[in-house]
Amino acid sequence: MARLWTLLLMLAAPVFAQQVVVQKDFIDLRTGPGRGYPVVQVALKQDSLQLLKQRTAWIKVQYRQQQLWLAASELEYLYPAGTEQSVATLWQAEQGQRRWQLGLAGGDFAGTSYYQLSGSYLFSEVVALELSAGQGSGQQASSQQYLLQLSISPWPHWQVSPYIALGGGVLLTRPRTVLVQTAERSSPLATMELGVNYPLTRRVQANLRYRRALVSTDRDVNEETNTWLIGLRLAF
Amino acid sequence: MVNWITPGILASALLLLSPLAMAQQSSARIEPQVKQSQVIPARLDTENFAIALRGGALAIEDFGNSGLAVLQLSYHINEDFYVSAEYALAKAGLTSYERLSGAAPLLTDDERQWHYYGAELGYVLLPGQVYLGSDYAVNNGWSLFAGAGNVDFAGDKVFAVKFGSQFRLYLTDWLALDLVVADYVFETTILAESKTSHNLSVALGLAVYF
Repeated sequence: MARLWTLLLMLAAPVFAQQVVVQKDFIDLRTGPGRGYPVVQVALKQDSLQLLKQRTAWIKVQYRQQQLWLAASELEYLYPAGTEQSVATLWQAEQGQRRWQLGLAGGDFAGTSYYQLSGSYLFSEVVALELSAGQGSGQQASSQQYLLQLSISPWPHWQVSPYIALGGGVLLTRPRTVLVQTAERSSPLATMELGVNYPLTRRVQANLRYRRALVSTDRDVNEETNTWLIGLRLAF
Repeated sequence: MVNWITPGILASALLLLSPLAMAQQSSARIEPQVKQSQVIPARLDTENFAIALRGGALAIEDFGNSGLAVLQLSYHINEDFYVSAEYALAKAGLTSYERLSGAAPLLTDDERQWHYYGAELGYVLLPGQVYLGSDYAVNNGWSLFAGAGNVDFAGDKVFAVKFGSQFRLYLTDWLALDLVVADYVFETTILAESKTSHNLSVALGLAVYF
């Protein structure tokens, strides 16, 4: 029961806390979350607003009888009643590191078009583990790759931050035929990846990567392949 | 003389004492010991994801028109860009050849299932408001997108490119009406020779933000 009450309190508390006061001459309030939507109202200094929710870099607020949107950059000028710090500052102090990333990338794998989905877990800003599943399609064959790679980015605070990753996995190839069904070939592969990350927003980073893979085949010689990728990673 | 000395002493004593008295007074003032409690506003609920379900028509090249169902999950990176993952399915009809010649069908029923799964990047080119009569103002956004994925059709799995445009009308903040026109382009070898096939689609549906 006590737990239920704390839960209820936790749920109720933010409602009071979301009341903020404008500390700027005026703030534009728009009908939608974007600069393309018209400004239909203006909140003046000392006016009080209630923060409701967020979409991308826009905040939905209750102002008098209306629900309108303001840019998240204005949070710098919104102060919770009775505090001397803005909402932006308070939130920034509270912000922790995001641990999970979801990635999407496309490019070229050994002369075939290739794309992959990936999930990463960040042990720290420097070390991450990435699991990826990729699909390549060429004129002669289609292929699938499942890889696990450990990456190290020595300079996480650089604007363009390089990283190196090592790993391995399995490559499944199937020759493309129209009439004859052919068997899938599976071969293990070891990979080395070099890449750079570039932050687009606080949650999204773009990346460019090159991967060299050593494919161990049934034949006497091992094959080496090159993969070039461009993609995005979203943090959670 | 006496008259002059006494007030003089008193005045100088007063002058000497007054700062002391002042100091005493200020130290006597009770300073509030209440520490300002820091109220950190809870982080807001973000609504950057949208899930959309659409139905429409797809013209599979050489195989006539068929119904199309699309399920799409999007994430809005910022007000301009979004990324989506999509799954679409349709069932191909008969080619004109099959219809006219009366010969055995080229594909089995199973092979006529057309699936697409892929991802795309969209850009909201024209956000704004539209007006319905004189009483209603509705938010909308027209966006362009391009992406790639796989088409699973006729027993073959091929790489496909997809591009098109989306018109989104916001019924409320979290519910929107979608009209999407898209072209799925891929190389096909079904009818012996290899060729690029364009598969145009139009679909209407609803999107829910969460």
